[in-house]
Amino acid sequence: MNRKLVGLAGAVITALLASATVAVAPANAANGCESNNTDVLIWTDLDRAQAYKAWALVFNRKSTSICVTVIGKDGGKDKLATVADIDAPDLFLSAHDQIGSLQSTGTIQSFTITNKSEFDARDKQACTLQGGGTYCLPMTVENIALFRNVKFVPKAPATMTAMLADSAKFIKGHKTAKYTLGVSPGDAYHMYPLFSGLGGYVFGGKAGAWKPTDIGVANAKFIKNAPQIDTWYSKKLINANVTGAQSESDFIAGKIPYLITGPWNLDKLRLANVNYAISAFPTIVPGIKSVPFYGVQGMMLTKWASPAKHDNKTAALTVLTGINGLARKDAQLLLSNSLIRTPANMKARASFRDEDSSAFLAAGIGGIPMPSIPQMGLFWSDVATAWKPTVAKPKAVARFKTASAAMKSGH
Amino acid sequence: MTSVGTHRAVKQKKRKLKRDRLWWRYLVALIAILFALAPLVWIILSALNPTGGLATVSLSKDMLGLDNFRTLFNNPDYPYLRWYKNSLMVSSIAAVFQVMIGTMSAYAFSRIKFKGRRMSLGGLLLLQMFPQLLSLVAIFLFMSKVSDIVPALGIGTFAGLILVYLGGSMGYNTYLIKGFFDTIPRELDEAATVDGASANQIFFKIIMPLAAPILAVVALLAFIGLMNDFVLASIFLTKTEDTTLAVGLHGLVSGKYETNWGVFAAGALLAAIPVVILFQLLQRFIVEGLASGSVKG
Amino acid sequence: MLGILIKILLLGFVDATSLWAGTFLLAMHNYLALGVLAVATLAINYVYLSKRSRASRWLIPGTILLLIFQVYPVIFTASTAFTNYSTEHYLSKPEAITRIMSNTIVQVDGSPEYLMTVVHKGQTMALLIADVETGEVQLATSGGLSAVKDGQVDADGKPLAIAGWKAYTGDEALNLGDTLANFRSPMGDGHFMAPIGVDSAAESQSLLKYDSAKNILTDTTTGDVYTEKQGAFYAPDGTMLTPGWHVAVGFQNFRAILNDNTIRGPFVRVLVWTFIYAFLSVVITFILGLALALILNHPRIKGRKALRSILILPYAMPGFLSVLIWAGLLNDDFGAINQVFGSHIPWLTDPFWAKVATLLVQLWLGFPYMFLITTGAIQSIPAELAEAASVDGAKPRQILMKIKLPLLMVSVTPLLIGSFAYNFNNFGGIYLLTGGGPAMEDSPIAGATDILISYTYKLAFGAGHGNDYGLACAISILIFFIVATVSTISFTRTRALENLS
Repeated sequence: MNRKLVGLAGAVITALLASATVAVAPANAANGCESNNTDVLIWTDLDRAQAYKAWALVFNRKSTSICVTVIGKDGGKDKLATVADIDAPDLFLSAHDQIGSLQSTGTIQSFTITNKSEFDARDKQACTLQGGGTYCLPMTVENIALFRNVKFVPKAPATMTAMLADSAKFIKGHKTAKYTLGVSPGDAYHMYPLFSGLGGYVFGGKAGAWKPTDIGVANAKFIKNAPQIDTWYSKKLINANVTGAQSESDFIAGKIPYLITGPWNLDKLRLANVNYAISAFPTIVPGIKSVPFYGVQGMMLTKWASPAKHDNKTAALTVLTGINGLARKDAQLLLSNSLIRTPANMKARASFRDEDSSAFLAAGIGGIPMPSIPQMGLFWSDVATAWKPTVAKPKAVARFKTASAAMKSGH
Repeated sequence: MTSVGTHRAVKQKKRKLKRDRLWWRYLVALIAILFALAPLVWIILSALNPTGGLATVSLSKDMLGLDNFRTLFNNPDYPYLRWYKNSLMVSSIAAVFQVMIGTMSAYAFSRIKFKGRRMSLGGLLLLQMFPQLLSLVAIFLFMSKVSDIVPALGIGTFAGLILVYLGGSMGYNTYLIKGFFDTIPRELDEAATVDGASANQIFFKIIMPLAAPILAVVALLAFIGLMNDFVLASIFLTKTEDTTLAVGLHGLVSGKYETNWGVFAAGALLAAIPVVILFQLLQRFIVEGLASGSVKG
Repeated sequence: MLGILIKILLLGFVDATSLWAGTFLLAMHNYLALGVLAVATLAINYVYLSKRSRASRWLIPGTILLLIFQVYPVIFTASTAFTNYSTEHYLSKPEAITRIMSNTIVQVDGSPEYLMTVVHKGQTMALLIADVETGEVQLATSGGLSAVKDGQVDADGKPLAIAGWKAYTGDEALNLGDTLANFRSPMGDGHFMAPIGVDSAAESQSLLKYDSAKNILTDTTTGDVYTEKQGAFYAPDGTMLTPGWHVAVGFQNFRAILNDNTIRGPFVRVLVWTFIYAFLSVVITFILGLALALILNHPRIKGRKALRSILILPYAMPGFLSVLIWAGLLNDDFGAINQVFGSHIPWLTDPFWAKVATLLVQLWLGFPYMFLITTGAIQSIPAELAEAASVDGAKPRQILMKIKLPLLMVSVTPLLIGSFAYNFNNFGGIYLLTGGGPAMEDSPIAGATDILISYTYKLAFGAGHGNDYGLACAISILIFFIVATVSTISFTRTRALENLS
């Protein structure tokens, strides 16, 4: 009885293992390196890995003494905390707002961008922390913009009044529509253009020198304009229960005329056969521009690229800012063309042509770099909560005042 | 053999009683199936949705396709089959050892009187109430030290991960098995002791065969739990190619704004297959194990 | 005979392994770990070789693993609760100072861009640098900079080697390692030319200076003095210089919890809901699992095997996926449940219905587990017992209530307690479904469905200071204390853990 059980279990496991062993391809593809080169390992997210791998092939051919390997990894920031030294990356690609916490834990180190004159001041600022150090090399820039389905809304709305009128017209024709502007109110990042358009700001100061005690979530100007939010809900412009995924699929299915999203959804939308157009956000209050958060994908130098760990800091810096490095025009243009993202290097940007990317860039004019200080965590959670009406607090003014108080108390 | 007659009598009586009452059992079965399967339908629809989003109520024709499955097997960034193999290997090895260790401990708790037995049992249960979320930091730091001494057992290795999994052997499994051992009449092993059997013999020849159904259940539960473990594996395995299914798949949806639910759902669906197969194979032991044993007895 | 052989082999393996690990520990001068290892190895040998200590033989493998992976984390957490271990206090002090001093080297504002060739004269290394704008070439030695007349550059703009100096190839330059990375050519004013990689250079300066004797940092441009306070350097205006390091802070974390109204306010409400959630999760999953096991294990139901396989499917999926799918299904306006049933139940936005939703999802996730266990346990009840009772004239209902259920409860009660403990800390079941929401009046953090562990997570990892492990540990120690007290009282009151006999 007992022996039978063990035997059976063994047989099952063997069978399962055997079935899974079939057709497992070797993981490391050729990267065009000789064996005695100095290795530099880059982590990017999965979506960008292909483009960076293609670039690495070019780099490895030119810089015969350095071998760059690219690994695509999602959730890379968390993995940096637990990775074994031997597997750790020397360079790490991530959104610039991660530099604050990564610097605090000593995971990344500052470095010098030697050709910094080729970069825009706003991009460089995004990569700077208090104290003046540069912690990331701006690679591509990105921000969200307003998408509209041209079938329903031929002309981009310049003001919120125009947008609400379009919205009302759409609802008349689509009785079952529960909302028209595709955005999740529980997502403070995608809601930020509406927030800034009402006069709200996160912290006083500027990138590299934010003032975490100056919180503008319930400043007088914003509070004066905030009752408009209640109207947006009552007129079915936005819906508190919409999730990002819901709004994307509704936009693709032609069920809503507007969507707020970023270039990461371009692939999907281009495939989806929707006649879309990209524009800047409508003005909500005269005199205040509605701007999104501005983001930079930055390449960071990790603590492993140091004498005590991988002993390849010189090589890693060469990959970053050397003649054939990531900071230079050729590399940035190559990457931008395959990623369909605007390059950060201004020389590369001058040669980069993509209509959608230009529209994104235009929508991002005046946008502030997403703050990289740890206090930003409060904004994400408290303001996300404030956007959604509750039974106890149906009015936006009260909710944003609560959020502001919570942020000030450190919760 | 004398009981054959009574067996038949009992069966006839039962048949008469239950014949007209069977339909409601089928009804319950139907409702239970609907309850269990309805959300899975959504997972299947998501797996078939090529736009990469989670399925929504609004279904259209262009939202059905096998693209996600194709991506799953052809994208070099997701070595899905490799993850599959890793998961099966780690989960089956760890499950076997977990059950072994759990059974041994359960035997001691059930059959041997020793000082502090009650206290140990209580303490064991209390430990299970400590939030695992916080234990992770300590376990990680400990394993980093192990990495320095014995790299083959350290961070990033399957052996290390299995070792960490075995840390949980003495938890719920022990309770489940002990609870079952307690229902096996003590007279059986007392009689065997009188006949001169050693503790080992009693364990292997008497207790284990009787416990087959519950051991099969525990093994299956352990296997499922390990297959689906995300937290520990994600901390110990950081290489994309050397990770497990749950961790690898989670990576597909952990991007801040770029998530690929479709591929993820497709992967998760296929990941449930070994569990179902294993369950099919073990059902005999779980459901009919003791019945066949009692006929022999 | 075979048993003894196996025993000797296994013991030999254990001894050999520990001897092997011991040599490493000895080499690393880790005498504490070595001592622990030696004592443990001796104890194992004693237990298995001596005739006595029957129970330990069965318990040792599990106990060792338990001590390492379950007891040690508790002790570690307890000690971390008294430190400021967090995102901003993550390193040790020497690590933090090394990092600060390395981060403080920046390029001088307005300095030109240089391309560089590393050259050497025998053992002496120097940098040939070319201003990218003007093409002017200079030689930077450890003594300082000097202009190179008629310096030539290549197609890329890199300077070509000059008379008396030989250029290093890329490989050679990389192999210089520290010698190149730490090379400085002084330029006066505290500025220096430093190589950046193998082909660029920058005029750089150190913004801070560390005085290890006084333990202060001085700003080289403004003269501001940074002083140490609780694991970090602070500027005169009170701004903290990151990274800091972790230090012991006594009861500070506990005081923070007890003195903070926003934390204390909703604590009792969250605690009560945690108990309700954990208790009901167990009860409803058990009742459904048991009911299905009893109803469907009827010998004349056709397709029982297939039926059982279908019913365990919810358990076979990765749990976090299922919870996320459920969050979509329960969405008030767009979820399938409200649309299919034409209802308007505010599943995730109303405090009451959100609680119902968390339990419903837990029911779906958990009933297959209970179904499996109760099926196994019922099948394990000796059939003779039921048949004997039946012959004695007992009705099926009586057999169930008087014989099967009591026996079943003996084997599953400890497991139900275990399941209670699991749900007590079921972070994913709450956080992925409702995020603890909907928001409640009395607290900006604790929502209607928050249980203690999700509340702790939000407090310690969602707040404005990155991840505050010290605070998280302090809260969990407090929670553990409460749970331990409650559980110990109930253990001593019930005889659940006692033998049947």
